[in-house]
Amino acid sequence: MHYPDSFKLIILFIICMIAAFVSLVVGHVNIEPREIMQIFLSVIKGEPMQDLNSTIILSLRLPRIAAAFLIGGALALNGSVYQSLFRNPMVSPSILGLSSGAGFGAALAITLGLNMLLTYFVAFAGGIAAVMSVLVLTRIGGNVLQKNLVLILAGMVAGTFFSALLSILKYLADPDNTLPNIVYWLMGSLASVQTMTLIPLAVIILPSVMILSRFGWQLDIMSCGEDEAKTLGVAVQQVRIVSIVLATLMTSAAVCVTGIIGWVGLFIPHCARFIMGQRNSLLLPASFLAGGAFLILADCFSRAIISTEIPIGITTSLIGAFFFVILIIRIGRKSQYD
Amino acid sequence: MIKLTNVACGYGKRCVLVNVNGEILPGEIMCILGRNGAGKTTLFKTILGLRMPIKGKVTINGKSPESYKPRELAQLIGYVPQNTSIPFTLTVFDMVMMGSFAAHGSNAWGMPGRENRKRAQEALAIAGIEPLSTALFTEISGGEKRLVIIARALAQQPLFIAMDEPMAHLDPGNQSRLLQLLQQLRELGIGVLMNTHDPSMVLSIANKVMAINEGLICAMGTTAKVLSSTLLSSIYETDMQIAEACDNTGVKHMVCLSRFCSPYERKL
Repeated sequence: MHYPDSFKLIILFIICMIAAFVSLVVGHVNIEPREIMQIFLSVIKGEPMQDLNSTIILSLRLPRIAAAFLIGGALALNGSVYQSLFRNPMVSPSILGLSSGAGFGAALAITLGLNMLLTYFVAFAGGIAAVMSVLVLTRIGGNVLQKNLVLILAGMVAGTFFSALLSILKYLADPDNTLPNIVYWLMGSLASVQTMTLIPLAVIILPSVMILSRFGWQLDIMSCGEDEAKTLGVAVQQVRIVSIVLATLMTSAAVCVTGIIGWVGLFIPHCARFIMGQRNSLLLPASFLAGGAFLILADCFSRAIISTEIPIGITTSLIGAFFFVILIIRIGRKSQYD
Repeated sequence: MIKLTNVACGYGKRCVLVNVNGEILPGEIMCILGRNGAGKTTLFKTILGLRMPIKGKVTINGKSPESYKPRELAQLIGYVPQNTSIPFTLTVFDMVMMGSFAAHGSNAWGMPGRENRKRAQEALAIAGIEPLSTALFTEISGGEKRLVIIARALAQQPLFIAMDEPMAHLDPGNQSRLLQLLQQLRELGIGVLMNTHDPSMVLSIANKVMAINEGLICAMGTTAKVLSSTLLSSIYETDMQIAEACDNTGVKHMVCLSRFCSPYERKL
């Protein structure tokens, strides 16, 4: 049955809402849906609340759910943007070495004993530095910024370089205190999210999503190749630079808060394609909503499945690997009949 | 008008073509003839502003291609490349609608609007491929892809269209349809610049011919004056002859005969 595209987007939004509600209910302390509704009603009426459950909902779970939505959405949308930009459906936001740069930044901050806020900042700066070094490398390579291959190669160089620096820090780190902290950070977690964390996240992510969503059709045209896109009237250089800059800001903001969360930027765009089709003008908002819903549920799973919290990077990787097995089987079956 | 003045083009500092002079007006069809690797596509890319000329000047309506904004340039000249591939599965309609971006841009949400869809529908109708509109571009034949890309260029509604080997992959029926389409474009006042290896096509449709041999323009002018058996034989280094032929209705056509000497033919 064929459903209108706007209907599918509305359904995705409703799924996000349901995921958020489930995530509010589920946790080590189970809170009844009715009680959650009462807490929200009290907030709307402006009544003071001092009980434990309202603190859990409003100060712990709600910020965490909002952060999961923003971060999952940002990572998935960036995956879709990069896949179109690099004309490769197997590309993820880490292609330009951003995750390695942010990982190194966070590890450096942890090694230096900086507080949480400064750790966020240094991780954010590390991600930006990695992508900036990629852009500088491509410039040095003879003003060939428009060439995807050069960007990918420079991304590999930056990724390897920052991974090596990260390994040095891990090797030299105190194995009793610092090393576990670095390793735990690299596995990804939303445990450190607070209400105040949400403001910078939202300020960076929401406007970037709106701007990038407006590039959807131009990204479709760019998937025909640079030369063709230029002859069709797309300002290829401008779209590429703006997309990379915004995607970098969003991913850095996401990664610095949560640590490295793999696979969301790779397999959620494929799920969104399955639902919405291949047009970026619809795929980008769909990826954002699907990524948000997925990370909310993955976070819910991570903190509720066993008595201690599983790092969310492990959960997303397990689900991602499972998904790709299904994808490989589907591709294999399809090629059998072609 | 597209004007080439002493243009040298190539890759880096290596010139593939030198001293290219010529002009093409709206409503004219100019064919570029030359062997594989003669630099025809490179010349196209230079005209389209995708490569800077090593020497000389290319102007479109008096200004160099680089001085136009991308959408302005796309409204002046469309491009039909030799091959188009996309890694994602878009429909034929989506592909053709890309052409309308030049004239109408996108709506406030960054999506194609009503005008874009209307323009794509018109281009599909002109190219005669409306039944294909919902098919996936990755699943149609090479010849159909060719027609889709031509329709995409038509959706740009440009003054000129540069076609790189438009006859490649087309069956005789579609070749005939393309010739009719070219005739239609000429009547609409659209200038067509195309390269081809089919001299019979040049004879039947082109106003002007530019012949390339060994990195130089060896002949340039109207088809009737320039195209000869000697010229074709020297370009392609094989025996080629232009002859008259009559169809069933008795109408005379100029055709090109290429002597292909296979061992089997020699035995006969």
